[in-house]
Amino acid sequence: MKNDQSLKPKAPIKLFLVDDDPLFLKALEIEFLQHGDFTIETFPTGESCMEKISDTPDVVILDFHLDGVDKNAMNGLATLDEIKKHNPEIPVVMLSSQDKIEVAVECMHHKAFDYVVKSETAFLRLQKIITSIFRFKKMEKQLNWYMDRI
Amino acid sequence: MERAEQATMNRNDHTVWLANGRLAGRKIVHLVTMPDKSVCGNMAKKELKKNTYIDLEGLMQRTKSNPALMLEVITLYLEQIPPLIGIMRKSLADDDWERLYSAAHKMVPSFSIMGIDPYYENLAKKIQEYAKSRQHTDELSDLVLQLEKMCDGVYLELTETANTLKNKNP
Repeated sequence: MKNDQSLKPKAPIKLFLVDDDPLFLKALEIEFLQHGDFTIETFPTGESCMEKISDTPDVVILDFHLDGVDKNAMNGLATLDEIKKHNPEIPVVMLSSQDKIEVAVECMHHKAFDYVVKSETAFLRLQKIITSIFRFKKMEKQLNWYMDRI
Repeated sequence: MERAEQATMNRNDHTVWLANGRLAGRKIVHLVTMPDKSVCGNMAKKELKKNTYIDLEGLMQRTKSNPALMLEVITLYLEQIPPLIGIMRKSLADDDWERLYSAAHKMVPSFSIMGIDPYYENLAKKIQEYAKSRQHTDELSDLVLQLEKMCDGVYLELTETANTLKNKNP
Protein backbone atom coordinates (compact mmCIF):
# COMPACT_ATOMS: atom_id res chain seq x y z
CA MET A 1 0.00 0.00 0.00
CA LYS A 2 1.29 3.41 -0.91
CA ASN A 3 2.23 5.31 2.22
CA ASP A 4 0.97 8.78 1.33
CA GLN A 5 1.69 11.17 4.22
CA SER A 6 -0.59 13.89 2.91
CA LEU A 7 -3.87 14.13 4.76
CA LYS A 8 -5.50 16.11 2.01
CA PRO A 9 -7.34 14.29 -0.76
CA LYS A 10 -6.24 15.17 -4.29
CA ALA A 11 -9.61 16.57 -5.29
CA PRO A 12 -10.96 19.63 -3.51
CA ILE A 13 -12.90 18.84 -0.36
CA LYS A 14 -16.60 19.01 -1.10
CA LEU A 15 -18.35 20.87 1.72
CA PHE A 16 -22.03 21.44 2.30
CA LEU A 17 -22.77 24.38 4.61
CA VAL A 18 -26.33 24.49 5.94
CA ASP A 19 -27.55 27.51 7.94
CA ASP A 20 -30.57 29.81 7.80
CA ASP A 21 -28.34 32.71 8.92
CA PRO A 22 -27.05 34.16 5.61
CA LEU A 23 -24.49 36.39 7.34
CA PHE A 24 -22.81 33.55 9.22
CA LEU A 25 -23.05 31.33 6.13
CA LYS A 26 -21.27 33.92 3.99
CA ALA A 27 -18.58 34.55 6.64
CA LEU A 28 -17.91 30.81 6.89
CA GLU A 29 -17.87 30.36 3.12
CA ILE A 30 -15.32 33.18 2.77
CA GLU A 31 -13.08 31.63 5.45
CA PHE A 32 -13.10 28.22 3.78
CA LEU A 33 -12.49 29.59 0.32
CA GLN A 34 -9.60 31.74 1.57
CA HIS A 35 -7.91 28.95 3.51
CA GLY A 36 -7.99 25.78 1.51
CA ASP A 37 -8.98 23.72 -1.46
CA PHE A 38 -12.73 23.43 -1.02
CA THR A 39 -15.75 23.32 -3.24
CA ILE A 40 -18.63 24.72 -1.25
CA GLU A 41 -22.36 24.52 -1.62
CA THR A 42 -24.49 26.55 0.76
CA PHE A 43 -28.08 25.80 1.75
CA PRO A 44 -30.47 27.93 3.80
CA THR A 45 -32.60 24.94 4.86
CA GLY A 46 -32.27 21.27 5.71
CA GLU A 47 -34.77 20.48 2.97
CA SER A 48 -32.65 22.14 0.26
CA CYS A 49 -29.57 20.29 1.54
CA MET A 50 -31.41 16.94 1.33
CA GLU A 51 -32.32 17.64 -2.30
CA LYS A 52 -28.60 17.65 -3.15
CA ILE A 53 -27.35 15.04 -0.68
CA SER A 54 -26.96 12.44 -3.46
CA ASP A 55 -23.98 14.56 -4.62
CA THR A 56 -22.22 12.98 -1.60
CA PRO A 57 -20.34 15.80 0.12
CA ASP A 58 -17.12 14.96 1.99
CA VAL A 59 -18.39 16.85 5.04
CA VAL A 60 -21.65 18.57 5.99
CA ILE A 61 -21.58 21.51 8.40
CA LEU A 62 -25.07 21.87 9.77
CA ASP A 63 -26.75 24.45 11.98
CA PHE A 64 -28.63 23.05 15.00
CA HIS A 65 -31.31 25.76 15.12
CA LEU A 66 -32.60 25.64 11.53
CA ASP A 67 -36.23 26.24 12.46
CA GLY A 68 -35.64 29.55 14.25
CA VAL A 69 -37.32 31.77 11.69
CA ASP A 70 -39.56 29.30 9.90
CA LYS A 71 -41.21 27.11 12.53
CA ASN A 72 -42.27 24.59 9.88
CA ALA A 73 -38.72 24.12 8.61
CA MET A 74 -36.86 20.88 9.30
CA ASN A 75 -34.62 21.43 12.33
CA GLY A 76 -30.92 20.58 12.54
CA LEU A 77 -31.31 17.23 14.29
CA ALA A 78 -34.02 16.07 11.86
CA THR A 79 -31.75 17.03 8.96
CA LEU A 80 -28.88 15.17 10.61
CA ASP A 81 -31.08 12.06 10.93
CA GLU A 82 -32.10 12.31 7.27
CA ILE A 83 -28.48 12.62 6.13
CA LYS A 84 -27.49 9.59 8.22
CA LYS A 85 -30.46 7.64 6.88
CA HIS A 86 -29.37 8.45 3.33
CA ASN A 87 -25.68 7.70 3.91
CA PRO A 88 -24.27 7.01 7.40
CA GLU A 89 -20.71 7.55 6.10
CA ILE A 90 -21.15 11.28 5.48
CA PRO A 91 -19.56 13.10 8.44
CA VAL A 92 -21.75 15.86 9.84
CA VAL A 93 -20.44 18.62 12.10
CA MET A 94 -23.11 20.47 14.04
CA LEU A 95 -22.99 24.22 14.66
CA SER A 96 -24.87 26.14 17.29
CA SER A 97 -24.88 29.51 19.04
CA GLN A 98 -25.72 27.64 22.25
CA ASP A 99 -22.71 26.61 24.29
CA LYS A 100 -24.63 23.95 26.17
CA ILE A 101 -23.59 20.44 27.10
CA GLU A 102 -27.08 19.01 26.54
CA VAL A 103 -27.10 20.31 22.95
CA ALA A 104 -23.68 18.78 22.33
CA VAL A 105 -24.72 15.43 23.84
CA GLU A 106 -27.92 15.39 21.81
CA CYS A 107 -25.92 15.96 18.61
CA MET A 108 -23.55 13.11 19.49
CA HIS A 109 -26.49 10.80 20.16
CA HIS A 110 -27.71 11.55 16.67
CA LYS A 111 -24.28 10.50 15.31
CA ALA A 112 -22.82 13.90 14.57
CA PHE A 113 -19.03 13.78 14.13
CA ASP A 114 -18.57 16.84 16.33
CA TYR A 115 -20.23 19.95 17.70
CA VAL A 116 -18.92 23.51 17.35
CA VAL A 117 -20.16 26.68 19.02
CA LYS A 118 -20.57 29.68 16.70
CA SER A 119 -17.86 32.06 17.87
CA GLU A 120 -14.77 33.83 16.63
CA THR A 121 -12.85 30.56 16.80
CA ALA A 122 -15.51 28.45 15.06
CA PHE A 123 -13.66 28.39 11.76
CA LEU A 124 -10.39 27.23 13.34
CA ARG A 125 -12.25 24.47 15.17
CA LEU A 126 -13.94 23.40 11.94
CA GLN A 127 -10.61 23.33 10.11
CA LYS A 128 -9.16 21.05 12.79
CA ILE A 129 -12.21 18.82 12.74
CA ILE A 130 -12.10 18.45 8.95
CA THR A 131 -8.41 17.50 9.19
CA SER A 132 -9.35 14.92 11.83
CA ILE A 133 -12.10 13.53 9.63
CA PHE A 134 -9.67 12.90 6.79
CA ARG A 135 -7.04 11.48 9.13
CA PHE A 136 -9.64 9.15 10.59
CA LYS A 137 -10.84 8.08 7.14
CA LYS A 138 -7.28 7.37 6.02
CA MET A 139 -6.56 5.27 9.12
CA GLU A 140 -9.80 3.38 8.62
CA LYS A 141 -8.84 2.66 5.01
CA GLN A 142 -5.36 1.47 6.04
CA LEU A 143 -6.81 -0.71 8.78
CA ASN A 144 -9.23 -2.32 6.34
CA TRP A 145 -6.37 -2.90 3.92
CA TYR A 146 -4.34 -4.73 6.59
CA MET A 147 -7.36 -6.63 7.92
CA ASP A 148 -8.07 -7.97 4.41
CA ARG A 149 -4.56 -9.44 4.33
CA ILE A 150 -4.54 -11.12 7.75
CA MET B 1 -11.09 54.55 24.81
CA GLU B 2 -11.03 50.91 25.90
CA ARG B 3 -13.76 48.75 24.36
CA ALA B 4 -14.89 47.60 27.79
CA GLU B 5 -15.50 51.19 28.75
CA GLN B 6 -17.54 51.75 25.60
CA ALA B 7 -20.06 49.20 26.74
CA THR B 8 -20.80 50.99 29.97
CA MET B 9 -20.55 54.58 28.79
CA ASN B 10 -23.27 57.07 29.51
CA ARG B 11 -26.08 56.98 26.95
CA ASN B 12 -26.04 60.80 26.76
CA ASP B 13 -22.76 60.53 24.92
CA HIS B 14 -24.39 58.29 22.33
CA THR B 15 -24.70 60.89 19.56
CA VAL B 16 -21.19 62.24 19.98
CA TRP B 17 -19.88 58.73 20.08
CA LEU B 18 -21.69 57.80 16.87
CA ALA B 19 -20.32 60.85 15.09
CA ASN B 20 -16.80 59.86 16.13
CA GLY B 21 -17.52 56.31 15.02
CA ARG B 22 -18.65 57.39 11.59
CA LEU B 23 -15.51 59.47 11.19
CA ALA B 24 -13.38 56.48 12.16
CA GLY B 25 -15.42 54.31 9.75
CA ARG B 26 -14.58 56.65 6.87
CA LYS B 27 -10.91 56.48 7.75
CA ILE B 28 -11.00 52.68 7.88
CA VAL B 29 -12.49 52.43 4.41
CA HIS B 30 -9.90 54.87 3.12
CA LEU B 31 -7.18 52.72 4.66
CA VAL B 32 -8.66 49.48 3.31
CA THR B 33 -8.68 50.85 -0.20
CA MET B 34 -5.12 52.17 0.04
CA PRO B 35 -2.78 50.32 -2.33
CA ASP B 36 -0.06 49.52 0.27
CA LYS B 37 -1.70 46.81 2.37
CA SER B 38 1.02 46.55 5.02
CA VAL B 39 0.68 50.26 5.81
CA CYS B 40 -3.07 49.88 5.55
CA GLY B 41 -3.11 47.05 8.06
CA ASN B 42 -1.12 48.86 10.75
CA MET B 43 -2.86 52.20 10.39
CA ALA B 44 -6.31 50.64 10.15
CA LYS B 45 -5.73 48.71 13.38
CA LYS B 46 -5.06 51.97 15.22
CA GLU B 47 -8.13 53.62 13.72
CA LEU B 48 -10.33 50.64 14.55
CA LYS B 49 -9.60 50.93 18.25
CA LYS B 50 -11.35 54.31 18.36
CA ASN B 51 -14.89 55.02 19.47
CA THR B 52 -17.03 52.74 17.38
CA TYR B 53 -19.42 49.91 18.08
CA ILE B 54 -17.77 47.87 15.35
CA ASP B 55 -14.23 46.63 14.91
CA LEU B 56 -13.77 45.49 11.32
CA GLU B 57 -10.26 44.14 11.87
CA GLY B 58 -11.56 40.57 11.95
CA LEU B 59 -13.63 41.08 8.82
CA MET B 60 -10.62 42.60 7.06
CA GLN B 61 -8.52 39.57 8.00
CA ARG B 62 -11.26 37.19 6.98
CA THR B 63 -11.75 38.84 3.59
CA LYS B 64 -8.06 39.69 3.17
CA SER B 65 -9.24 43.31 2.92
CA ASN B 66 -11.09 42.55 -0.31
CA PRO B 67 -13.54 45.48 -0.57
CA ALA B 68 -16.08 43.51 -2.64
CA LEU B 69 -16.22 40.69 -0.08
CA MET B 70 -16.38 43.17 2.79
CA LEU B 71 -19.25 44.94 1.09
CA GLU B 72 -21.06 41.64 0.56
CA VAL B 73 -20.83 40.73 4.26
CA ILE B 74 -21.78 44.25 5.41
CA THR B 75 -24.77 44.29 3.04
CA LEU B 76 -25.97 40.97 4.48
CA TYR B 77 -25.74 42.42 7.99
CA LEU B 78 -27.69 45.52 6.95
CA GLU B 79 -30.41 43.36 5.38
CA GLN B 80 -30.60 40.80 8.17
CA ILE B 81 -30.27 42.57 11.50
CA PRO B 82 -32.81 45.46 11.39
CA PRO B 83 -35.75 43.09 10.73
CA LEU B 84 -34.60 40.97 13.69
CA ILE B 85 -34.71 44.06 15.93
CA GLY B 86 -38.23 44.73 14.66
CA ILE B 87 -39.21 41.15 15.48
CA MET B 88 -37.71 41.48 18.97
CA ARG B 89 -39.59 44.69 19.67
CA LYS B 90 -42.90 43.26 18.44
CA SER B 91 -42.53 39.89 20.12
CA LEU B 92 -41.70 41.61 23.42
CA ALA B 93 -44.86 43.72 23.11
CA ASP B 94 -46.90 40.59 22.27
CA ASP B 95 -45.21 38.36 24.89
CA ASP B 96 -44.32 36.05 22.00
CA TRP B 97 -41.47 34.34 23.86
CA GLU B 98 -40.49 31.84 21.18
CA ARG B 99 -40.12 34.53 18.54
CA LEU B 100 -38.19 36.76 20.94
CA TYR B 101 -35.85 33.86 21.76
CA SER B 102 -35.34 33.05 18.07
CA ALA B 103 -34.65 36.65 17.08
CA ALA B 104 -32.09 37.14 19.89
CA HIS B 105 -30.56 33.74 19.07
CA LYS B 106 -30.27 34.56 15.37
CA MET B 107 -28.45 37.79 16.20
CA VAL B 108 -25.65 36.22 18.25
CA PRO B 109 -23.16 35.23 15.49
CA SER B 110 -23.30 38.71 13.93
CA PHE B 111 -21.56 40.29 16.94
CA SER B 112 -18.25 38.55 16.47
CA ILE B 113 -18.39 38.94 12.66
CA MET B 114 -18.65 42.73 13.01
CA GLY B 115 -16.28 42.90 15.99
CA ILE B 116 -18.95 44.20 18.34
CA ASP B 117 -18.09 44.21 22.04
CA PRO B 118 -18.95 40.85 23.72
CA TYR B 119 -21.01 42.88 26.22
CA TYR B 120 -23.76 43.07 23.57
CA GLU B 121 -23.52 39.38 22.76
CA ASN B 122 -24.12 38.72 26.44
CA LEU B 123 -27.13 41.07 26.32
CA ALA B 124 -28.62 38.97 23.52
CA LYS B 125 -27.93 35.81 25.51
CA LYS B 126 -29.61 37.32 28.58
CA ILE B 127 -32.65 38.16 26.45
CA GLN B 128 -32.74 34.51 25.37
CA GLU B 129 -32.69 33.43 29.01
CA TYR B 130 -35.56 35.79 29.90
CA ALA B 131 -37.53 34.63 26.87
CA LYS B 132 -37.02 31.01 27.92
CA SER B 133 -38.28 31.74 31.41
CA ARG B 134 -41.19 33.80 29.96
CA GLN B 135 -40.66 36.73 32.30
CA HIS B 136 -41.68 40.17 31.07
CA THR B 137 -39.63 42.34 33.42
CA ASP B 138 -38.39 45.93 33.24
CA GLU B 139 -34.89 44.58 32.91
CA LEU B 140 -35.86 42.61 29.81
CA SER B 141 -37.34 45.73 28.21
CA ASP B 142 -34.17 47.63 29.05
CA LEU B 143 -31.98 44.89 27.53
CA VAL B 144 -33.99 44.99 24.30
CA LEU B 145 -33.72 48.79 24.25
CA GLN B 146 -29.95 48.66 24.76
CA LEU B 147 -29.58 46.14 21.95
CA GLU B 148 -31.78 48.27 19.71
CA LYS B 149 -29.64 51.37 20.38
CA MET B 150 -26.49 49.42 19.65
CA CYS B 151 -27.95 48.05 16.41
CA ASP B 152 -29.01 51.56 15.33
CA GLY B 153 -25.45 52.73 15.90
CA VAL B 154 -23.96 49.76 14.07
CA TYR B 155 -26.41 50.29 11.21
CA LEU B 156 -25.25 53.91 10.78
CA GLU B 157 -21.58 52.98 10.94
CA LEU B 158 -21.93 50.11 8.50
CA THR B 159 -24.13 52.06 6.09
CA GLU B 160 -21.46 54.72 5.91
CA THR B 161 -18.73 52.10 5.46
CA ALA B 162 -20.77 50.35 2.76
CA ASN B 163 -21.38 53.61 0.88
CA THR B 164 -17.71 54.47 0.95
CA LEU B 165 -16.77 50.99 -0.23
CA LYS B 166 -19.31 51.30 -3.06
CA ASN B 167 -17.90 54.68 -4.10
CA LYS B 168 -14.35 53.40 -4.02
CA ASN B 169 -15.27 50.24 -5.98
CA PRO B 170 -18.17 51.13 -8.27
